[in-house]
Amino acid sequence: MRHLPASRTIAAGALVAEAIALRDDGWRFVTASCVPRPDGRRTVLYHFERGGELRHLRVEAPPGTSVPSIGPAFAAAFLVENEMRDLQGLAVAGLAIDYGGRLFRDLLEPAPRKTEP
Amino acid sequence: MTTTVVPFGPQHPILAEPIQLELTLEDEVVVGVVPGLGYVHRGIEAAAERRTYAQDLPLLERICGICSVAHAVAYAQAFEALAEVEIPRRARLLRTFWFELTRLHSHLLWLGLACDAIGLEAQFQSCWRVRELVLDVFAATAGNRVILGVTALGGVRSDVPERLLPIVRQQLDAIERGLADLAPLIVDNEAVLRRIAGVGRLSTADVVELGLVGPTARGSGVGLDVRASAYAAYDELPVEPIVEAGGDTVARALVRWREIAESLRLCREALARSDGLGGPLRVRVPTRPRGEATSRVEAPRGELFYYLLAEGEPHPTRCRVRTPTFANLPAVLRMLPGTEMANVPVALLSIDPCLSCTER
Repeated sequence: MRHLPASRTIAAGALVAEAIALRDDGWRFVTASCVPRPDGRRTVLYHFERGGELRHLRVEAPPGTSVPSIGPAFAAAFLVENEMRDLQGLAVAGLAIDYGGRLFRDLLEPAPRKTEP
Repeated sequence: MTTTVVPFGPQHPILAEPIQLELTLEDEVVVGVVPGLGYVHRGIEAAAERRTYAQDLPLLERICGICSVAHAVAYAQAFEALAEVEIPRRARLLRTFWFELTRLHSHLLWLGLACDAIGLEAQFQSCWRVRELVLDVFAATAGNRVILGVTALGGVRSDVPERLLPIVRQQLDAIERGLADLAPLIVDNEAVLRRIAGVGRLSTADVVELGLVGPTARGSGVGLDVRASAYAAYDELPVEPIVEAGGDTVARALVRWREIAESLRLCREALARSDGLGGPLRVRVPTRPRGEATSRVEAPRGELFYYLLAEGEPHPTRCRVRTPTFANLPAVLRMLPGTEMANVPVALLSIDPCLSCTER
């Protein structure tokens, strides 16, 4: 399959260091996109922009694993990280503001964690 | 000093749509804030993954009634990148025409709401009276006042007929005259500027650190404008980002005000260049593309981002939408602490929050 140009796959453990390096290099965090796969994996793309150019970091999260929050690099990432957890069932460790599954307030109880396919 | 936690919203006189700010106050001053979403979440991203690409266009266009053209164009661009097709120049110019009209009416809508929030009902009505002229152009050229339905995958669905051109030009002139009448009431009015000066202050560093976009960023001296990346017809109609350095509500209001004039210029130029331009309005596109694509446009509130994953099915595997308000919401974490409770509504309004977009 044709991937996004300028996308690079990295290990979840390297995510925060890579994000900090991008921030220090003047890149802006645009957002993250989480793709739940039929086998229970989740592919997470982190999108960055600098001077009109886009760059993407790809992280594969096998079932039952989590990805670290990039909050230490980009303070505003907490919203999309909470959303990915609530809507795509992605486990995110170390959230700066943790809504506990209640980012979406009209839910009567925390969003179910879709950790299995 | 005792602290009090006050829920601001989800229902509040200044809010047209529901959002909650959990404010922690010391006396009348905000010392902490947590934004709360999800009162009207619609699951449109998930719905888009169950419909065909063509069916997704009207669905995604309905994410927001104000910037429906922005969503349609952003999605169409992402799809066209997947399909590896180039749309005709005429279509790019027409997309730019309707896109800039959208910015015009969105900024006028905001200006009216901001006036209403500080008790200026006459100015509110004056702004919306001028905005109504823009909606008339929408109705004349697209047949709809809100959801235009003019964008197609591979181009545009309709043209601006030649017989309508003089009417549209007259209407644009009328909008310009309306703006000239509004200026002394709002942006040249010392009383109005003093009421909003210093409210909701964001430094350049705050904007960079939080990744804020649109007039919120440009009002703090950051010249971020996706139109510089030359999508649609912005390659032949270049836009210089309009920037103010103040970082407060006045600066954000002035950015929007100046952008209204710029949008009028772009509408006129796009229309003039498309006038008499022959050729097709759209090109054929495949129904089962493969690959990944992103798309960015400068919606009235800032950068709108789409990500599409296509795996050869008639529908996208993933359709991700990051709206400008979703990016700008963290601004409240910086601009509200230290603000008096009475100024919270104006400060929140200054980022022009759109919950329809955010709760896609």
